[in-house]
Amino acid sequence: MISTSIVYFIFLVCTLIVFYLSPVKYRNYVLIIASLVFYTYVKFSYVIIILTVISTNYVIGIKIEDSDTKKLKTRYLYLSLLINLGILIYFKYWNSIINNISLFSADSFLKNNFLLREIILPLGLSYYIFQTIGYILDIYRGSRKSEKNFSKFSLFILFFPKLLVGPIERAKNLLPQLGKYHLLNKEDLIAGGKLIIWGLFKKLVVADRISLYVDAVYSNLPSHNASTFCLATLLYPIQVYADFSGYTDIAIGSARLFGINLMENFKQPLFAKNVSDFWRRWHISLSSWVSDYIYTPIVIKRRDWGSFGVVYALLISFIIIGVWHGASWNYVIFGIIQAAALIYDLETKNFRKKLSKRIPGYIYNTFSILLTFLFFAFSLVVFRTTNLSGAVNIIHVMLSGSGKLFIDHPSTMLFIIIGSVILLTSDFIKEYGKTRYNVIHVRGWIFQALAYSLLILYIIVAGVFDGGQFIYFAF
Amino acid sequence: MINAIRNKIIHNSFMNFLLKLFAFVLIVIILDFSIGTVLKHYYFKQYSGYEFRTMYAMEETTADLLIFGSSKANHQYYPAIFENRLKLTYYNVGRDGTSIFYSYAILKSILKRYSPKMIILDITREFGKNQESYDRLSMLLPYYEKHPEIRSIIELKSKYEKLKLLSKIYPYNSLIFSIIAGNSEFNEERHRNINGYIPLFKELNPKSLIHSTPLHYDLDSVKIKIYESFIKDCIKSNIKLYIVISPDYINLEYNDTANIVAEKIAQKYNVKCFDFYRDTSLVNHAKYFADNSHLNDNGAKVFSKLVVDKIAQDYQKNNKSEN
Amino acid sequence: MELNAIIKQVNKIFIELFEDESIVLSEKSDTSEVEAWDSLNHIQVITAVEKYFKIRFELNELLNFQNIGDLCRGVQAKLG
Repeated sequence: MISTSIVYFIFLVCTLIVFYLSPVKYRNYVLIIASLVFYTYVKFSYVIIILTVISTNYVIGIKIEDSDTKKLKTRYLYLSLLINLGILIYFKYWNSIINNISLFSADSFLKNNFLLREIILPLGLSYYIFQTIGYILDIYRGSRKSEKNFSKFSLFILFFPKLLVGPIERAKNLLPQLGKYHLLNKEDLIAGGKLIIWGLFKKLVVADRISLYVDAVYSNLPSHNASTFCLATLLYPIQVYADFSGYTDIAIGSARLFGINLMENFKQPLFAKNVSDFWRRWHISLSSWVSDYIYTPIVIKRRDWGSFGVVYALLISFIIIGVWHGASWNYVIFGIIQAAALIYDLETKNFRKKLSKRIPGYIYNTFSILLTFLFFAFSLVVFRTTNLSGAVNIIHVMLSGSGKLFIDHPSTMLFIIIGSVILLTSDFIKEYGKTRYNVIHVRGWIFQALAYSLLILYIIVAGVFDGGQFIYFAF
Repeated sequence: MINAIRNKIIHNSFMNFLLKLFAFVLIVIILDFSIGTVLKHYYFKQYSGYEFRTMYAMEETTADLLIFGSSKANHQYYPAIFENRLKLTYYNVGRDGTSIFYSYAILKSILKRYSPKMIILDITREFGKNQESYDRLSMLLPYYEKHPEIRSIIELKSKYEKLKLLSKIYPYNSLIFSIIAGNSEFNEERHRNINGYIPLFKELNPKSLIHSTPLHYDLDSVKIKIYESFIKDCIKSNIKLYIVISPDYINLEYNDTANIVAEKIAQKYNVKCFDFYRDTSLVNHAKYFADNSHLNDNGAKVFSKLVVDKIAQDYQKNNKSEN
Repeated sequence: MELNAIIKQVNKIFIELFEDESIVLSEKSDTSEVEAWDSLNHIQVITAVEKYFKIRFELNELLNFQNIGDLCRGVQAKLG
């Protein structure tokens, strides 16, 4: 059930009705049942996996808390990691690992006996496994008590708006909210509705339209020239941003309709001033998870290594972020590139600070934003090129010199420009806007109603309704 | 008592919210209706381009001979050759990027108005299973309202098409710039055509071809069924139907699966099928092709002569036997 | 050692480390405000504090410090 589909909205409305007609004490169960129905609709076997993860971690969480000795706590921690990571590695990385090890052996023994043909990655697995690991680590560190209420814990993992595409929630944020429901809060309904509409705009009007062009270029790379490739490269980050943040907005908006506040996942990332800043604004739930559970512990443990300890921690963290996306080498390289940029940031911090004092703010900031965007855009080329022949094609294209820019249909370009301008302007306002620029909020409900109805109609006029799959579903 | 008042306030605020929600929905509906009406008006006011030719095909043409099919039909059947030899008025209703679904819809709307004397259907490689063919049914959305006879075909697009069509704007999705162009000076430039036929003037450079090994592909049974309906409807209306398979530049060593099926079915209904897929005077002659699957204007002339010869033979034979 | 004395000393460490005379820390001063990916400063503070007081913190302790007050209480506990 893709969240831009009609089925999803029918499901959402039905769940909302049942939810608000139910007494507050039963509402967790309503959401649990709805989430199970949702996940079963996607695929029944996925439900078995998630229920396994839920039940084992529920028990282990309590055991860790009840353990007297650190040794015992650690044993339980390892058990939980074994189960969680074992499941994740099996579904996601097994075949890739076998293939890579086989590169070192002359025969196909491994390939013939260990490659499994039918491993299909359950949707949402990477998201909820990480969420569960975070929960267990919080208990292990003593920053949180285990959740004794099984239904509450189940809902914490199962909650359908965030199930397929995140955000990767934290116990601190989500658990307390489950059970404390308002009777019926119109602010929630309005805010949720607005977010959903905006998410649909980003996904259907901006992301899917750009992908028509970018896919056309990438599917036939050898026949394009360098200038076309550059245009596609500059458009692709906007596509990925609109795509992922669009789906996230629909998720957060859907949750909001139930009165639940999920965590922010994007914070105008295209306006980041440097790569460190960028990773505080992009896929925040993943990057802050890695920062809290991997980066910070490593950096603290290796504090005697000085700044090399930080470099070491950055490399590991970003390789993990890269590999979270998929089981191939291009994701590893993507991670290393990001780490390199952050190391650069680290080493040049003082230099850049001095530079910023000598150049007028507007110029320095604009350049910083543009450079950061260009960096991200070109690093995404690695992300999108999933095999070696693709990489060869790209190098070939870049050396081919400029020629006539490939436009495909002029109307596609026009739609792309209009959609991107609306999106970037809105983000610009969110980033720099003081309240008086926040026109939409100030003028009262008629203005808002008009604005959002025009937005809905523009989605119908300019959205891409045929095809267009979410990039981040495959994680 | 305080509780009663408090409940009343909550109740009012909620009522208030519901009223505003209702007003919002009303605004959306009114705007949708008005903008949709404007779009419809300008869509049908176009006088050149793809959409205009579709409209002309469905609602205006009364030619004796109609050419049906996708881009192969649109670019490969040279009008004058057919008009002069067969002494029939000609219009080409083929359109780029369409499938048998589109052809059948056009046929149905034409049959509601009149019965042409002859139809040529280019059915080359038509039956592959392909999501695009369904997506592209969106070309027909603007006609859903006025043409009940094609609604069942449009609904093949997806289960929820009927729901989406509640919006008056939806049929014109992604078309707004097309509509603007069709109503302004851009108009005259758009695909100069001769009775629907659009000549291609490029010449294929064989070195630029990327040779891919031909695949066996899955056939779509829905498309085959629609093809049969096409044939049956022509027979029922006493239209002389000819099925044609036109060549690609690359000579495949075996015949394409879909083509074989098309031929078999044509034979089943006693409809003449002319297969030029491996015709040696055209295949591998780069000067006649604009790209791997479309003849250019020169190639179209050669090909049309081959086709019309076969048709004239058959047509005259039948006319003689009727006299 | 008294808590206030510890806070004063940590304050001195901050001033030396960041070359900023104007730094004034209180119990509530927030160290958890350290931004993600930007923790070089944070680590330098920790190692400087550990070096000065000749103590060593555990990972879990460090992760649970929310502010200067927590850090200084941690120091106090280590000093016995």
